[in-house]
Amino acid sequence: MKKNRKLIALALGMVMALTLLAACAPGTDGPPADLARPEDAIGAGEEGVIEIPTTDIAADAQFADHVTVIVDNNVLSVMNPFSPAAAGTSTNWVFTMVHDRLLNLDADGASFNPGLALTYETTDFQTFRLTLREGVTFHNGDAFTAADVVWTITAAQEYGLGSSAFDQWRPVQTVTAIDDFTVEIVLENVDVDFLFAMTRPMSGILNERAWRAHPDTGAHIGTGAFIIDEFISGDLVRMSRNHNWWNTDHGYEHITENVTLRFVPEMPTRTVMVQTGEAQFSFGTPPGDMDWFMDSPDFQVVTTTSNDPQGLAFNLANPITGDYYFRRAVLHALDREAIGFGAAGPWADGRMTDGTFWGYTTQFRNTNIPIIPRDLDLAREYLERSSYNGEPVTLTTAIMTNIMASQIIQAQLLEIGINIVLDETDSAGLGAFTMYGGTEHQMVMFFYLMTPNAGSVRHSFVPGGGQNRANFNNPEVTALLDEARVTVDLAQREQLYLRVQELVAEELAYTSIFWRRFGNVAANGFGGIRLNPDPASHDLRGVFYVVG
Amino acid sequence: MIRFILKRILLLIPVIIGVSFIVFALLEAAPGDVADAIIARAGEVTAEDIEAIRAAHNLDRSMFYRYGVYMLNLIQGDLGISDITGLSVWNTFMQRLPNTLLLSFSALIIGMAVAVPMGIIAARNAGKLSDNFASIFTLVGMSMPVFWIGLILIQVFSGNLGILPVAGFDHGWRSLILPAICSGLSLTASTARQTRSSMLEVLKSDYLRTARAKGTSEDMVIRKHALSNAWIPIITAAGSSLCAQLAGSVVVESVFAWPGIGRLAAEAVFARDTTTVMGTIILTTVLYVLVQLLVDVLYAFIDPRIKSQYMNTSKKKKKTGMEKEAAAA
Repeated sequence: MKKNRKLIALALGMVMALTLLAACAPGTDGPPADLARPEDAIGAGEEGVIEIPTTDIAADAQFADHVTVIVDNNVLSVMNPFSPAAAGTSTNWVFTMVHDRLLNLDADGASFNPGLALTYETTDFQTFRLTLREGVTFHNGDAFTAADVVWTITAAQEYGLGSSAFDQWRPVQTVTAIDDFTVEIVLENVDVDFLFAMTRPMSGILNERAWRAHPDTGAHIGTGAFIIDEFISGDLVRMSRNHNWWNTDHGYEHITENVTLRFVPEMPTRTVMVQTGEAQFSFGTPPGDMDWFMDSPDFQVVTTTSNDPQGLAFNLANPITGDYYFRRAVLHALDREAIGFGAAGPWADGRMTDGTFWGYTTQFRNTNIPIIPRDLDLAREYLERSSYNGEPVTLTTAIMTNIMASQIIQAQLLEIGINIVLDETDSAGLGAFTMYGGTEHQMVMFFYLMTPNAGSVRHSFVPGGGQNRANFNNPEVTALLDEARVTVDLAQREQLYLRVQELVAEELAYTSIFWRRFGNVAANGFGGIRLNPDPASHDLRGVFYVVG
Repeated sequence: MIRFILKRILLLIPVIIGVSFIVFALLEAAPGDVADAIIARAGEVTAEDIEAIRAAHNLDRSMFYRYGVYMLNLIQGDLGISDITGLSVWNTFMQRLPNTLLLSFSALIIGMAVAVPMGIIAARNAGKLSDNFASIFTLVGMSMPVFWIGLILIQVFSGNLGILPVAGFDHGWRSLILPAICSGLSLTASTARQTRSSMLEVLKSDYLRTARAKGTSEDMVIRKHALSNAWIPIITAAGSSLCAQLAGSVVVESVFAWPGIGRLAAEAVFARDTTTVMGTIILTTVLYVLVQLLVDVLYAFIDPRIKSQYMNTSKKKKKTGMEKEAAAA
């Protein structure tokens, strides 16, 4: 028995020794840091596109031939813009690298630059005449002509139902090749957002011959800066530089010969991959590891604040959450700062200064809408006026940050007697369960995709919108949004969108809780990445790694 | 023997029908279907769009109709096209299968190479230091969560010592070491326990005492007489562990960013990709049954009594058939 005890002690000692060895990660012998300090990271507090490095590169700098970038929670499942699965943000980064668009959006998010189209003409925002660039070739050697534009648009409409590409090209009624390098696009209706649609990553021009020959891989062929060499669905995409890229005036410091984007699901694995040099940049580094990276002289931490509000939606078709007084009671009971900090720590952006439900860089943001303040007495008063009788109310949510936020909301609402039951699911489950038209869900805590273009808010506010989790159906708002789409005059359009926000705020169907800051880590010497508040628009074409 | 193998392969048919129907029904019962998953990713959809999507995936027909269509295609060897990605399920599966096989068989080799000697030593020295050590090792190996072991291995061998790559499979055989050890550890633990208990049982047998009394060396007793009789439960345990590796290595694959079929199935479930889930599960079932068949065949090679049982069953059935014919005549 005594001998056994010794043995058990020995074994436990060995396990402890192994654990201690594991805990001795590089750098942990340095001074323990404070809480994560996102405000010290590159890009903190900045709006618009963030680019690293912030210092000049030496003239004799030696660049690595190969750069690996780790992709976080967006699986690289398919590289075909006509597929519904191609909606993930990281998939869009690859599209930007591989497929060129007709137009490009300027860094300010407001003006349009030439892409595969040198010029565009429109007088009414219904008929667009594009003059295309000559001398451009696809990765398979085919020359780019107007026929490719015609084919891409018609194929997206024919084969892409449910995909983002379909959504971009949906307004097109006819597309005609006037000659080899002139295209005329006629929309069903006037649409001032169509220029923006042409700049989206999923609006790249594809090659018909390649697509027809190999439906699985034909969409990999584009005219862009990189050529896809290998794609393993759900795992990685390896690309090599396209030396025949037409864009010689790209403005990037350096274009790396080989770039790999690898999906790594586990956060600790990502951290060690960057620490050991297996990857030079990682999206989605765990907040708990940020201090180490910030204190290390070998790494730089870059942060971006997503334009997508993390918010709460009330299903207006449900008897309980459809009650205005109930919604008002909930909003008076919420302490946004506590929710944001509790869910994301200092990585919740505290720029929530107004009460509109809108992306912070989305055009025409109405900053005059006040936040409904936390006032528990008022909350109880409104709750009494509502039809709520203490029954459980479901709060559906997904993704860890939102799950944590929901737990805090649950506790805060209990203070006024609202009994919240959490329904935790995955993103796909949440999307499917909280569809527009569904009446089973009650409250939803999630993020809402919003681009810099105001037209993107339609997805949350019009019947049939992919993110209309509130069953929002206000004919006045729909009419205003429809009118905004056909209003060419910017000042007039702004007034329409400002009014939309007022109406949405009055109805209390949605409320923003906080913005999420993302912490990304780069090895020193890594640069060239352009991080956008719209996560789908990050540009990785210019990534490089200086080795000497 | 061939008849036995053919019979087992034929048994795959009802197994596949049963498994596929259960999976299909479970996916049907889960909230949200393919159309919901597609619409949720789309920007803005009209009622006509929704109808078109539902019609394209036969969601306007009954579950039995869709299941029938799926099985009809399956009979023709067509596992279908993913509802979400539009990629061929067969191609996607085959792209991942070699990685899973490599990982699973490496884990098996590591597991067997460590577990069998450890089990034998433990059994021969029951109650002694080495036996206690083996018991603790197996207890720890079976108790520790695989993801935790994986993270520890990464931190120690990649982070601290810097001698092995962290994840992926870019570094050839070196990339395989950590995931294989991680997978192999639990397999080692369970197989070592099984080996120990089998050997303990056999070592008490009268025929071993007789062998020893006849002057046979202890090594010969163990290798030739004891081990050959202990193999059956060891192979059973190893076969079951291998099947578990093939079907459920999603945790190890996630920790080491290893692109195998476990992750494929998990990602398909998250995406509500019914066709890929069905295809992956059916193919994994086939693999499972084939591995079990291999185990049964190995029994016959290891133990002549089992081989004769297989033969006798076949002959008996033949005879019965002849008898029936005679009776009919």
